[in-house]
Amino acid sequence: MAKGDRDPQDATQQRNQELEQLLAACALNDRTAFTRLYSITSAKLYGVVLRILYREEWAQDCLQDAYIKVWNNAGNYRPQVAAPMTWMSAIARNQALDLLRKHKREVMESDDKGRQEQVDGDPLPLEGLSSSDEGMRLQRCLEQLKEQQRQVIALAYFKGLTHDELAAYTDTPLGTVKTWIRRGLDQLRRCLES
Amino acid sequence: MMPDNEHEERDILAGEYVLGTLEGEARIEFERRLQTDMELRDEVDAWHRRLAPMLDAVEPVTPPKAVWDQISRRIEPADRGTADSSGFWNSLSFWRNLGMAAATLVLVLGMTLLTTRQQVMEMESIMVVLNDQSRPGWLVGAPAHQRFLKVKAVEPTPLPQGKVCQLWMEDEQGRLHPLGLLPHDGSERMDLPAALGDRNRFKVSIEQLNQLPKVEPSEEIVFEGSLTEI
Repeated sequence: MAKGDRDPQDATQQRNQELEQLLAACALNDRTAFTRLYSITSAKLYGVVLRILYREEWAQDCLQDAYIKVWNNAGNYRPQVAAPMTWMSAIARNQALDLLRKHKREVMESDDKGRQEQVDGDPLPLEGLSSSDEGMRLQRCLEQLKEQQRQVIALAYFKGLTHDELAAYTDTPLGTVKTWIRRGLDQLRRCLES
Repeated sequence: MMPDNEHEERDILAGEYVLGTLEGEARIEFERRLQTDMELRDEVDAWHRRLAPMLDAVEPVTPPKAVWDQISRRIEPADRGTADSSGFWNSLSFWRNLGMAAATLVLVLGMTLLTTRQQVMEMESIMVVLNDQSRPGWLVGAPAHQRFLKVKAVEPTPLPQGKVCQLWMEDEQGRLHPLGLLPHDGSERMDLPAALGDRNRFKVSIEQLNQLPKVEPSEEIVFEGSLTEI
């Protein structure tokens, strides 16, 4: 198939439609549809959880749990609320952040230097955003934020860093970090809605 | 109306919730409110949509095959032994001819068998029946090589007491056949009067529960559609 011939927007719409149908079939307990859904979407979702969790072992456990959730909740998917990939990515990301919180509680006492390095060694992928209209708009709006605002928002989103951790990481008072986030989100919303 | 600043405060709170920076007690309290507060839920949905493109840029990575094997095992039905039960359990006349007490007993058993069966069903085509808000109200699936449909309620149209939604199939000659009532919740199977053709259309009408028409819909058609192969 000559990929270049197709309008990318049509292709997205077609893919969304296929995913919506597969989710509907999953809601009716169709395992074959679930297999197909997995084969189409798992690389994307694995990328997402791997980005957040960093460790492959955790990411694989998390991916499993995320797909079990997709299977069990397929009947709750609402196409009018979000595109199928947005919905599934949110499930995967939430699952990853939950796992991260759980592990963080477990290692709270030990001095976890490893995590700090993970955050440092992993540039945030904000440059590749422009692949879709929404992506381009978000990127444009993120660019209007102050550098520190953008950084704390991205770190929270991708790494699940808490207010305290963000304050420590950026060497900034806690109150300032909280303000950066609140103002950053507020500006982002206004910019995206304008 | 909510004052503007209060509205803004809620909106930012929803943003922090989606971002992940709402922690501890505040997070638990927020999730508690989410259970009942529809507007707050809309705001959370909006934030998911706003921030989701950040994930677009993440490079896909193919997971090892073992992950799928594990998932597949975890959704395996506990008991596959009854996978090939006949239509007997679901035949309507069977239910009608049973006494109530016996029916309840058998219903429990029948449901168990049905659930087990459902796990291994492969759908050939799917139709989404829209509700009065033009949102998915019911999912209809046609399993491969079977003469019935599986119908699951998602967000059914609310109806006044005594009214129901009836599903009809239009055959290739344009005749309508009543298939059954769209369930208010849960899922149901509906036997088909004939094998499905390529051009079967489906219609939904709103009817009086105590005067269900058998030949043609008596009231307005609220939905029309057809199955799409997946």
